[in-house]
Amino acid sequence: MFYNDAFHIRWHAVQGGRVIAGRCKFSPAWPDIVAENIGDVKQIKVIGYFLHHGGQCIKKSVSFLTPQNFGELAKCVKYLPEYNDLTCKIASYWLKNFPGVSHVLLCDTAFFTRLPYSALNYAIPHHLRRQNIRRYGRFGLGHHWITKQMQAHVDVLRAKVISVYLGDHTNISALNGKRPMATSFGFTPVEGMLSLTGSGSIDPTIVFYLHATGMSFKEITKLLSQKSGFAALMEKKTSLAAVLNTGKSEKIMAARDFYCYNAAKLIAGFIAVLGGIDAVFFFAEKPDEFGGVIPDICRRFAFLGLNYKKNGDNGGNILNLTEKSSPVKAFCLRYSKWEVMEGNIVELLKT
Amino acid sequence: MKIKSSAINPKKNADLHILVFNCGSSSLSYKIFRVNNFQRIEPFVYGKAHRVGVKGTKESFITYNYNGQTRKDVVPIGSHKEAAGLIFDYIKKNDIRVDLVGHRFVHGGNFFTRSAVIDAETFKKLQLCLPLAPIHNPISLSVIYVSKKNLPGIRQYVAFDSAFHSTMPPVAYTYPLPKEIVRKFAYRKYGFHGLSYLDVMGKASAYMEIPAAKLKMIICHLGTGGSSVAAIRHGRSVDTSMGYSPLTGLVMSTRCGDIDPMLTIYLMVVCDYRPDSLLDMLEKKSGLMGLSDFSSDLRDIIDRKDKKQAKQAFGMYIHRLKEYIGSYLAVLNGIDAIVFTDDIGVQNALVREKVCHDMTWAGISLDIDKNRKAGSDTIAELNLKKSKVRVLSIPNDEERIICLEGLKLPENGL
Repeated sequence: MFYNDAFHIRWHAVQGGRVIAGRCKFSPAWPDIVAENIGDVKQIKVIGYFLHHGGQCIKKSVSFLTPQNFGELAKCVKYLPEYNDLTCKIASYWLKNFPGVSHVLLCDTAFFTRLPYSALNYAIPHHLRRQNIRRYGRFGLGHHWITKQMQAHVDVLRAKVISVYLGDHTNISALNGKRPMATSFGFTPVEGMLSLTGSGSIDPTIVFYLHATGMSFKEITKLLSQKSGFAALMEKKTSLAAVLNTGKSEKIMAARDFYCYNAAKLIAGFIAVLGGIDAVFFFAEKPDEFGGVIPDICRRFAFLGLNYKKNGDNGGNILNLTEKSSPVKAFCLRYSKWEVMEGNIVELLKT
Repeated sequence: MKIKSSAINPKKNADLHILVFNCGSSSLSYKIFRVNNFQRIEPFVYGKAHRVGVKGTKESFITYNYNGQTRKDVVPIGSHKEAAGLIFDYIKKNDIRVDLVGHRFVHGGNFFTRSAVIDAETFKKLQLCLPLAPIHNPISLSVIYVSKKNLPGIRQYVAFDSAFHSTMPPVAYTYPLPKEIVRKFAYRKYGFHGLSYLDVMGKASAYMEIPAAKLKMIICHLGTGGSSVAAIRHGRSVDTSMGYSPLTGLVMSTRCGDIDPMLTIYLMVVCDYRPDSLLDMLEKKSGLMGLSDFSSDLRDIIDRKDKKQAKQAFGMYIHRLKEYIGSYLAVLNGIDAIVFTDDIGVQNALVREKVCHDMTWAGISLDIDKNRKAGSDTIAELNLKKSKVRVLSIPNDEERIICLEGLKLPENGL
């Protein structure tokens, strides 16, 4: 399975529970580096590719990739050139050189193509909406995974659920049964919650005012996506763990309050969209980093009857954070993107 | 001919006349209040200039109400300055005395957190505020110019829409942008419609017979132009949907409301939009107009619900409003009342019905029958008896609040 950002390629090769993980910079030598790390590449049976942005082209979260439908993947490059172009190059190499194995595309935005009109679109002129200007969302594989995990705890067909991914790019979705009804990421991942360096939602007229002061669009993009968020509140680059779970300085407490306040606002806004709530599912790759903020967010919903319990009940990979009598439940799950990718691939192969 | 006036002195002036101007983007409302011994405040001259500076097939007109007589003049009104000129002509012609003039000013930036008398220093600061609300602030200033010219020597003051929200805590008004940028340009959430919120909050408190200091409420100011929502705890604004400018928040008649900030950069860099034309598009061609493709008026859109775009536009208007109400329920940790105000808020039963639909989780239960029968010129309680949250429709009167602000200003010596 391959996962890339703008400059790096990461991979996980899985065989019988054994994982070989690697990472390298994108360069002409990358296929050799991968082969050397994995060992016998002839043993490969399936190859998975993580696609950050499927735009209007890829509408299934998990699908087979073939030379015949590769064109659809190529069309996605325009939506997120710096990431998708590299995904295309990786997929193209393996498709060409390993035609005998199954190739699977895992698309991170496809889950949200089923958003209702009001949640999918912006109130902008028709001609702009026709140019694919809309909300795409991200972390679709994660929120889709939640729809599977919640089965044991709520009525999966009718449950009103808020799914909260906690991480560098915290984002929130509203789920009605298995269907997404709203999501916090927008046209780009800057919209919604603040991130480590991203501003989150701000008044868009600020972009125009900054431009009028002489800043270039490149500088404004950098400002909003790389110099804002927690980095701006703390006035230095920082880690989530440092802000959300440990320090007690005034600045840290204010940043943590800002995070919880805005998370609670988004969650409550989505509850209104759903017309009520049965459960909140928090999921994170490192849930312990959020041990300080989850109780804070939960307590902001005491008025709805969410009865937070300090020491949750551990039921396998899922932690129940609420009392039995609580009409609104809260759960926390450990999430691994590699395991979720693998699970999706295995499921597709079975069908 | 000169306009009559008298030096302000509360002892001598048992009968004080305060002229109030309220600029809308395409209208100018005015009222002259008679203040009797600070006990009774009532407008005895009032009217409105309609379709000011609007090019179209419908004509501009201005109304005057005085001494039980109503007059409507259909005349071209090219600007707010012209409209103010017509009003002063009427005042002179009818020999009406004016002692004090109050003006609504939408965006006071970080210069003003309360109303202010217009002296040289205030005037300079008002000029610095012009770019903050490019649709509203320049037209208010133009009316101030006309007013000063027609009433030299008469004290004038400004009441700010943004001032009411100066009580918001940092967690609500902060944009997480680099500190040096925030300090240099004063980027933060300001919020608007404060005069309307102040008026309606007081009326809700009086109606419920509970002091505002003990109430938690959400007020939805739904206008035919701009709309916003505010979370009010114990008489103070703690959050609101508009931001640094009045563009963000709800879907409005021609304003887009919330959008991804990066989208603007994408449209300018990739799609080659010029900044001024893009901003113009987001302010004047988006919202209900952009969604429906045929009207910015919610009434037209409701009338044409058979049309797909109209249905979608109405759906998104309600969706966004419900999102904000939900958010503020969490901010306030539950509420005592939800209040609807301004033209759409008090006149449109369908909007209230759709907004309150499926809100029993928040303790909101609307009485559909009461809601449909409610009049728009009086306070109406619209909830079922069993509802934990009271649902009210309250007509606002921004001019009255501007008048009261004038009486409260210590500089006015009242």
